[in-house]
Parts: sequence; C-alpha cells; structure tokens
Amino acid sequence: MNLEAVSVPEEALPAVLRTPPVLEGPVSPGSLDDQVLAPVERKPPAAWFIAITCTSILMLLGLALMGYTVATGIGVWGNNIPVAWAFDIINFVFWIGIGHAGTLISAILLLFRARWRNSISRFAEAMTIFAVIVAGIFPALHVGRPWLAFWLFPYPNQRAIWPNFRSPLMWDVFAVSTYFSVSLLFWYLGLMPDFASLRDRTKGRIRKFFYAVLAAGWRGSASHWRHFEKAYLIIAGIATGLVLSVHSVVSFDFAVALVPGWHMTIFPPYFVTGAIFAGFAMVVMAMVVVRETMNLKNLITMYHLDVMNKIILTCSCLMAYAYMMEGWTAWYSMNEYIHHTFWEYIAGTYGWAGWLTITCNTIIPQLFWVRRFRRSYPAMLVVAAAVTVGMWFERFVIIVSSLHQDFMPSAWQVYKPTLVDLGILLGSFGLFFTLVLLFARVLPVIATTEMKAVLPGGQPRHGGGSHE
Amino acid sequence: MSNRTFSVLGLFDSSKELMDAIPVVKAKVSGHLDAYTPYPIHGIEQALGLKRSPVGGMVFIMGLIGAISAMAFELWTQGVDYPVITAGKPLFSWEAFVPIMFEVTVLFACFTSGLGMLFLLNRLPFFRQSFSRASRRAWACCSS
Repeated sequence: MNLEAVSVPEEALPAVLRTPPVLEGPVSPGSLDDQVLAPVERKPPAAWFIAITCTSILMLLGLALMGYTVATGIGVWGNNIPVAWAFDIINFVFWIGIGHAGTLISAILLLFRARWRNSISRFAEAMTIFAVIVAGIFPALHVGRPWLAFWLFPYPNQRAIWPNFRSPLMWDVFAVSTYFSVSLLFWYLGLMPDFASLRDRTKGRIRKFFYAVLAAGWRGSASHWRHFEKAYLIIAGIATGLVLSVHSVVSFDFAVALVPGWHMTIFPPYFVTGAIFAGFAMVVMAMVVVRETMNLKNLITMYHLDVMNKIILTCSCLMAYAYMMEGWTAWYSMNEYIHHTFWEYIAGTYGWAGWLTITCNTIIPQLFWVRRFRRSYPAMLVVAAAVTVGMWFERFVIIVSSLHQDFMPSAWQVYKPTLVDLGILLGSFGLFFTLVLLFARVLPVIATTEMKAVLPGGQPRHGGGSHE
Repeated sequence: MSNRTFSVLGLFDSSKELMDAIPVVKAKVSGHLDAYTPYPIHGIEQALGLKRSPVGGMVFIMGLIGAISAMAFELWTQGVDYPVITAGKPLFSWEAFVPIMFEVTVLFACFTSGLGMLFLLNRLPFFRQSFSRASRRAWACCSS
C-alpha cells in the first residue's frame, strides 16, 4: 500500500497537529560537534568543582560507613527479625529502578522511533550504568560477608554444591548482572563513533591516545555502519525485553514469597512502572541542570522536558491504579492477614509513610495535566523531587511495613533505621552524582552521531528529511 | 593487518553530494568501493553494492545456544549433579528455570551482536589508518 498517497503534507495541517520541531534554531553537524564535544576539552567551571566536592564528601561518608558495616557486621544496621530486609533492599530496588529510564529511552523509544530521544538518550544511559553500579553494592553488603558473594555464581567447586536456580534471589543475580553488562555494552557501542570524533578533533596527546583506544579504530566506513546499525537495533530490541524482565525479577523477590502484601500477581507490572516513573524523575532533574549549565538549550528543549513530564504523569496514573488494586486485592482476598497488612500501610505504625507515598506519587504529579507546569522549572523540579522521595518510601512501605507484623504476632517488632543506615543512603546518592558529574566532564553528554543522522538534510534518500 | 592501499577518490560537503557521486564513481572504478561518513546514511549499502549484514543470523544462533545451554545446565545441576528438593518443587521443575534461561539468552544474543559486529564483522580494533575528517563533517569516498 502506498502510504505517501494518503498522507497529508505537514504544511497543510493546522498548527496543533504538526510535528513539533525537536531542536531549536539551526543545528549542523559541525555546530553540534563544537557544542557537545567542546566542553570535554575545556577546564570545568567553578560550579562543577563545588558540586563534585559536595557529592564526593557524601560518597566518602557512605563508603566509610560501608567499610564500618563490613568490618563490624550488619548488626550496625537497624535490620532484625522480622524486618530482615530494610534500607539495604529498599536502596537496591530504588537504584535499580532509577536505571530503568535510561534503557527505556535508549531501547524502547528507539524502537518506537521517538525522535526526541536522541538528545537525552546518552545521558539517560549513563545514569542507568551508574544507578546499577550503586544498586549492586547493596545486595553484596546485605549478605553480610561480601567477600563470599561469589558463592552466588555457579562455578565448579570442591564442595560439589550448586546455587539454587529455583530461587528468585538467584534469578535476581542473573537479571541484574545481565542488565549491567548489556547496558554497558549498549552504551559503549553508542559512544564509539563519538569517541572517533573526539579522537579526530582533540589536540592533547594523552587525550588523543585515550580516545583512540576507546574508539578502537572506528572510522565510519559504510561497510561498518551497515553492521553497526543492525547490531544496535537488535540489541535495542532485546534490551526492551530485558528492561521489562529485570524489574519483574526484582519484584519476584517479593511476589514469590508468602509474606502478606508481597504475594501478589500485580507486582511485576507495578514494579516496572514504578521503576520507569522514578527513573524519569531523576532524568528530568538531571536534564534541567545539564541544560542550564552546559549551554545545551537548543538541543535539549522545553519540548523534551514536556514529553518526559507527560511520561511521568502517565506513570503516576498507573501507580495510582496499582495502589488501588492493592487495596482491592486485599479486600477481595477475604484473607485477614492481607487485610491487616493493607490496613498497616495506611493506618499502622508506618501509615505516615504510606500516605507520603500516595501524596508524592499520585497526587503531586497531577500538576502535569497543565501545560504551563510541564514547562516550568520550579514545577518540574518539585514534582521530580516528590516522585524520588515517594518512590523510595513506596519501597519502604512494601518492605518494612509488610515485614514488621508478619504471621506471628509474638515476633512483631517496630523497625528503626540507625545513623549508619541513613549515612549509607546519603552516600549512595553521593556516589551516583559523583559518577554523573565525572561523566558530564569526560564524555560527550549527547549522542552526536545519532543526532547528526536525523538533522534536516542528513538523509538524502528520505527526501532530505530525517532518518527515523 | 594488511598492506592495502587506500586511495581517496573524493571529498564531499554533504551526504547528498556523496550519494549522487557514488553511482558515477562506481561505474568507473573496478575495485572495492567504500564511503566514510560521520553517521550512517540510509540506502548507502545498496548504492555501494554491499551485502546485507549477517548480524541477525549470528544473534539468532547464539541466542538459541544460550537458551539451550542455560536450561540444560540448570536441569543438570538441580536434577542430576546435586539433586535437592527445594520449595517442594520436583527436581526437573523447568518452569522455575525460565527466568535464568531468558537472561542467559539475552546475554549471549547481545554480546554476539555487539562484539561479533566489532571484532568479527568489522575487524576492529584497527589503529593503522585514520580518516580524521570523515568522523566529523566531511563525507569521503574511497576505493581499496
């Protein structure tokens, strides 16, 4: 069927129906290089040094407390039976979730041919890598003897024991390590042509050597591009399944257990949505800062932020549905334990956390129904911060509130975090933002190659239009 | 590393000029023709007469090997080599092995795609020649 014949030319449409321009002002391949690749060659501004000092202090605090935990034992945390999982697992689920936005933007939106993703995909992918690094620390600490963490992997050993592959915790090890490896590979592949550009334009010998090694001799040959494009698309396709599987598997850690409040079939989609929700909030916060401080206003436009905020709004509504379903399931189950757990969520010891979750995740993001708020920095920063807080507390409610009153009332305990718990949480933010800040100075924050391919006139076989 | 000679046949200012020139050059040059561009240009493979990339087939085969080996390994370790009943499940409870089978399939497939493309198909790393202008804004056309 010839679709060209029935489509209406863009100019004939009323203004509201036209595809909005993704970039502002004239952008050419050369200007793109100068704008995006130049900052990595300059000395960073004072604000960057101040920021990285603050995040490094937090990171060192966290690392010191992690060292203290390893040296002393996890008794320095507030965890105890019945609340054997607390901040460590909350932080793990939280950070893994933050990573999901990057893969969504780089893989799923690539398949959906969302043109706006090009400006933000590189940064979001980097955030994925860093978030998964941060997340990975927590299960290792949580096992209590991190030096034996390799027992989780199936290797031939003299005890002839294999790990239990029927356990969701084992699935998690495979899911998270696969997720990290594949995200890193995907990120590196996308960066290669940019490394080649950097190699060819930088002057300093050490820098040139560094970029030359990373570019591995990439030279933009057409016979290479044909393999590259196919390989990249295939990885995007598979990563789409992967990103949905990772948080599903994380949710199995809970859903496969019999704890009331965890044992629910809604958990996989509920967790995946929550992960994308929190991840997008983090990306929006980072993009506002990057846009303002790195002179990229014409490449990351208000349109990009508007679209991301719409995704946040969508996820918020889905979260509201999931919360209602939790209540409905509790009621419909006619099971007194599940009734009790749900009641604890909203009116128990941690009821305040339940209401904080509901307010931050389902009520505050409703601001984004209004276009003006979707395009205002204060509004989007408030919402993004609220979502970050809300999503952290959602995991707190799921984990701590469900565990602290289990099937045996004589074992009930109120959980209280220690200062070490709080310090490690702060430290995880410090580590994440230190890595983000380093990335922003050393590597190009925008995928210039992908952008060049979709600039007007870049693809002569598509009537001079864009490539997607 | 071979001692092939690369000869630059033309430098163009835009992808359109390159695409217009390829058929003309192709008609006159007998050797292998390649183009060096800062980003992938659609339709250039057909214009240059390059074959379709075999990445898809490679990924499919390696993904299949990943799936089969993961499931076989899980069944062997849990049911044969160290048989322990856990969670009241039968020894060969294949359903519980599906998540790990999926992850291993993904791992094999993605790394075949990425590293196979770089090392096998594109023969990288390759540090001899550098087409320093082609990675930035010029569009080159070469024969070797």
